[in-house]
Amino acid sequence: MGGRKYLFSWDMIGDIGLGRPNLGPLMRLETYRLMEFTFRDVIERRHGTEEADRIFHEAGLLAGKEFFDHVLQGASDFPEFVRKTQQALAELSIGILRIEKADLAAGSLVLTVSEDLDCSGLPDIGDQICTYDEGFLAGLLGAFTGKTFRVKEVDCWCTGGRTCRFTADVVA
Amino acid sequence: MHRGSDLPVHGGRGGLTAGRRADDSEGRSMADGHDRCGTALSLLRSVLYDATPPAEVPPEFKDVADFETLFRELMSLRTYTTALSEGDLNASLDMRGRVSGALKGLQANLRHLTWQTQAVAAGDLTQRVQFLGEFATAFNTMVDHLQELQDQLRDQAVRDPLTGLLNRRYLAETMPRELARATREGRPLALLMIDVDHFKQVNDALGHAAGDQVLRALGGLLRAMTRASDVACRWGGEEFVVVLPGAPADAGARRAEDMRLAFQTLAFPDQASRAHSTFSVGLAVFPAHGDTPEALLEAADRALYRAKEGGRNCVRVAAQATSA
Ligand SMILES: [Zn+2]
Repeated sequence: MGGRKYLFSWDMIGDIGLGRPNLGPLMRLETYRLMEFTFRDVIERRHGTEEADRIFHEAGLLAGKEFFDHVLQGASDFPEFVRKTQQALAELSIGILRIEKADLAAGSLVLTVSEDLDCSGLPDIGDQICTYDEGFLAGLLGAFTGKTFRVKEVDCWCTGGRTCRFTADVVA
Repeated sequence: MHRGSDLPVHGGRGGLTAGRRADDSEGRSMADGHDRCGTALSLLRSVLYDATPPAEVPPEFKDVADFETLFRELMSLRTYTTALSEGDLNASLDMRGRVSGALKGLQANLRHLTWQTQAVAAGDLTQRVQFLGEFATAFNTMVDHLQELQDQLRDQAVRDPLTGLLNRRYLAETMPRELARATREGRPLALLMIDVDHFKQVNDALGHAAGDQVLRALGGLLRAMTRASDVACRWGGEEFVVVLPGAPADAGARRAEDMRLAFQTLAFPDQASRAHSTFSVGLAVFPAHGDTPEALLEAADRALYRAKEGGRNCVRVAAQATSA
């Protein structure tokens, strides 16, 4: 581990109650997007579009895993997992999750996230941009099932959808 | 309609000409342009209004790229909305923008609704719908009713109808859980096996209705003298089992003794009013007398046998497990 300054741990999120007695745990979404899209700009400039997407995907994957471990622990079956995830995503204003299809035996799902953090309300630029979400969902599903998922965004606000639709498949 | 924005005819460019060929002249009439525009519009109208619109863009519009895109999008919209109206939720819409986004949102909601209904059908009664107003209210009410019904059935399945106590099946399900918890929390658990003395004589002398009244009265007494965390059940016939989580042998024996005294002075109604009834109790405690449901029940049963041998109407604690 030598040389890692920023190895992620949930502790890094800190004691928000202690740190922000007046401002509390909330901030405006503009701030989140400002950070996300400036990161994206610089990473793309320095590493190219594909690598930028891969980095966001990988960060999302890590976030999904950590989120599952710290927020969704203890879900015993799929309906409970879905319920807990829906609740947590709504409570934390991350998005509205809906399952469209779920065939766990075949390892394939279709789900949508509406009012999503990353893309809802953005201009139609013709490309799906929610690579972080793809990673995040893959991380959640992977942590719950113990399998590796490939998640692909097939509809996005940025391709003119009003909701982001993802397919998730167990990687053979 | 940004994609079609260059459709209208402008000045002398010839507007919707096929390819702006060199032989296009400034002299080409405005009327010609208007005709072509009219044709284009009626083509688009046809996609929206007619039963059988043309399947393809006519050749003269082929190289007006945006026009063809708009035509294809409207055709896709047409196919998609038709499929949707027929209940096909798997159609895909090859179109961008607001209207398409709204329809995809509708499709997402309907597909989620389908999944939720499938989940309910598979027994997940926690699903609640938040889409389609009155439908959502009706759906959620229906699931509430199903939940109530299921609770009732579940309750009936684990209750003895005569005494209202839990039944043997419930005890079989709950004992492993109770023992696991007792182990986890490092606490004892007392199990009382209760058998009504000379019950056959009550039945024979006063009739089965009287016997039932005695059992029902004992059920009521055990319900009244147990706590929410205790488990009181009818084991079968005139035998009852009471589980007292957290109780060591002395406390368990005290509670059993209280119940015994209360029962021997209990007045029965109607047919059973002339019955004078008592019961004997065998008591076993986890972990001293066993650490499985079977071992505890056996130990309690042996203690009960000794209580009967010892003259009935008394409480006996099990002997220490030989293996311990
Ligand atoms: Zn998106």
